[in-house]
Amino acid sequence: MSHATETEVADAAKHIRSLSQSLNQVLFGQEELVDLVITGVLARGHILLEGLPGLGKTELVKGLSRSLLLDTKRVQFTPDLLPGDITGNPVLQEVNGNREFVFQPGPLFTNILLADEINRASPKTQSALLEAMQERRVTVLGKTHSLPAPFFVLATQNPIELEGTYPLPEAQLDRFLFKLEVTRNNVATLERIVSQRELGTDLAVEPIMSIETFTSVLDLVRRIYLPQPVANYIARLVDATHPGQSTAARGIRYGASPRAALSLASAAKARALIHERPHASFEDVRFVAAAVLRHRIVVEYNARIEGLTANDLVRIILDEVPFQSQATPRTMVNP
Amino acid sequence: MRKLFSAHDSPFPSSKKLLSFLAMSKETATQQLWIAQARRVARKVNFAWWLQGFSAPLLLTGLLGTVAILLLRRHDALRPLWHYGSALAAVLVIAALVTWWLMRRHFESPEQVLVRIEASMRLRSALSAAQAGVAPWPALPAEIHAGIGWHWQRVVFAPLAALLLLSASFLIPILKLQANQQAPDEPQAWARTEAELNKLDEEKIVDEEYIEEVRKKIEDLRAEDPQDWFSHSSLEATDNMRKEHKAEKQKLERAMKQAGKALETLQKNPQMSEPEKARLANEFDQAVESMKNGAMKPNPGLMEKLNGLNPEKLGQLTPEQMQQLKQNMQQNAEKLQSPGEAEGEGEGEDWTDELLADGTHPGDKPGQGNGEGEELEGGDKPGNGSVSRGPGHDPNLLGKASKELNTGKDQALQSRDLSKALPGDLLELQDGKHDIDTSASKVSGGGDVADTGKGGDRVWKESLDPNEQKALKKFFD
Repeated sequence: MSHATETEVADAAKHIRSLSQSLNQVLFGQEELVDLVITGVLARGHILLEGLPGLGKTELVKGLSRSLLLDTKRVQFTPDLLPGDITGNPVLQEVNGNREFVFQPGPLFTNILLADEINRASPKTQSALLEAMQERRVTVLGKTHSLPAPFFVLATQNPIELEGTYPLPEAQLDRFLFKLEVTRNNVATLERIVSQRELGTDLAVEPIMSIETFTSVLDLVRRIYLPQPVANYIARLVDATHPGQSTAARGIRYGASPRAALSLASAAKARALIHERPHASFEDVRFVAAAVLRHRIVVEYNARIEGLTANDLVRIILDEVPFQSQATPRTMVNP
Repeated sequence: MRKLFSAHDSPFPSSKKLLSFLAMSKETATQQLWIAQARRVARKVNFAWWLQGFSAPLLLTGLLGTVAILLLRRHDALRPLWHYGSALAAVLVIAALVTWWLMRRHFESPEQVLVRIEASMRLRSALSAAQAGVAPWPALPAEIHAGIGWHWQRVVFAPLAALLLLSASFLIPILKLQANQQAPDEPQAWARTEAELNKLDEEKIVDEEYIEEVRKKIEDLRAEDPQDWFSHSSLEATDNMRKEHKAEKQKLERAMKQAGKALETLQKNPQMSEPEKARLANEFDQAVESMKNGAMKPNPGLMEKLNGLNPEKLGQLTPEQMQQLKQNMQQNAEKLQSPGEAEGEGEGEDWTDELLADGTHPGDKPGQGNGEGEELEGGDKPGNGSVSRGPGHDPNLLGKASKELNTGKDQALQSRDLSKALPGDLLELQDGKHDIDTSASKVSGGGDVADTGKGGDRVWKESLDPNEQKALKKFFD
């Protein structure tokens, strides 16, 4: 596979910039969030959005689907939702005079699945998403059905009202490329929202690129060059999340998986493309590290008591692990 | 590099080719500049690694060099300065090479340094990408930095410390060791003993075997390191040897005197009774046995004579023979006596001999010497003690022993039941009387004050128990 050329990268970056501008018109004052969502999508990853109700999570996902001309379905997860409700069910039908089971695809068969309040569904239903998210296919009654490409799950969850919720298991959390925290808007942004929006009206979002163009951009992300020192940096970062491997890891019970390393590499490449570079860099890795690692490390109980969060620990690890793998001699200093 | 001209092309290159060639040349030039900068930084980093590794050997060399120079100065074997310089340089060169060999696993290549540079200059991995041929080499900035600088304190510490140590080794004043340093004077006891042995040897009083044996002991002690001559163990051994020697000498002297006296008594009273003669013969025999059994034996000539003498037939000796034998014995005994020994004020064991004698030598004359008194008894002065045991304590240190022991009269207990009796069961009886309050008592009405008392009376009368009251009363009485 040849590496992406500067011309290809420049061409793709133009489309991405348009997408970014479009989404920033949907969601005011959340440039970094928009940037990370685009990065996650370009890296072919699933994204878990966590934030209070009404912050625009659903609007962002809807805006993304409209901009990319992708099919979108939304499922409101509830405790009584069954796996078949999202994967689809075999239905008894008469076909050519014979009665047989015909598979009726569920809302999972789409390009972008908006899984609203995913933590309200039972573990059984959450598990039904596992295969779909990782393998991009579902198996019902022993028959495997491929999901349309591209396929993304953009799930939301509410950090409050935890009563009657089922925290996502670690295995499922690991399948999300990013966990993004949607924060509240400042006064200026709120003023802008109040001035330019009406309650209950849908936004008109112009399509930015066709599904073919989008697919080619996704392919281009894979061809972005990942220099060996950057790959080494990713490996050292992930290793540092494991107990005993760094100072910060003293507050971590379980570190990140190799899938986290792959996610970091993929997200760094996507960010390099967004910034019109044919190669990923240390800075790209640093930018996406918190979003990739925060939901993949299990914080030690003592660290929680001390008030440390996963974000704090990732920040400490980023400060602790230098870009270059070579140690500096004691007769020299890093000014 | 691609060829600018080829055989099939026109003699003049096209403008496109020319531009491409120029762009490529510029790219190559930029690459070479970056690589050159990376090499420069790599050399700096690798030198820093080498310095880090070399610090310990440098310090160690400095320390060992300092010790060596100090030792040479102490033994007054200093050589010209260039000798030291050459030796030091050789050691340092070897240490430097070994350090380089050991530290080279830390050394960085120019490619690795490029990562340092791009990380430090926030070039977003442009150099790594350019090196892989994915992106063009970025333009060379005016200043290139790899984010590292010298830690001067650590850099100069080891060389400076080594230099200071070596300088100090030349400057510290030191006492030079004398080539033929005088050994300490040997303990006087050896010389004294040797003098005594020489005298005994010259006068042929005792057996040579004994003399050689004691001399060997002295030689053994002398063979020790002179620094140890006055050690505790050496002095203890000397002291023991002296004591043994003295004891042997006195034993022989006593035996000879005893034999001499027995002969003298026999000579002066030829008409004495047979039992008395037998007793004197027995004494003479005991003295001869004592001479034979001691470590210090008389000279072989005398010993031979004594062996050939039958004690029961002493009376059969002619007066001349007896006189000669007696004189021989007495002379030897006198020679064995060292000046100031055994004739002291104290009572030696001679007094028993004199008591047993016939009264011609009552031995009531005061002695003339002032010997050490080790064999003497009855003194009440503090002892001289041994070499290492101090002078001992004054017997009156704790005061005179009281004679009033306040013991009662002991009376043996007589037991009718012998199974329960113990030997030595005593009953102690003491005379005494009851402690009766003799103060006058009177009848007093209820509520009357019996004793107005004086200030403070209440305290001791009412708060102290009878024994305490008694003691207090006794004190104030």
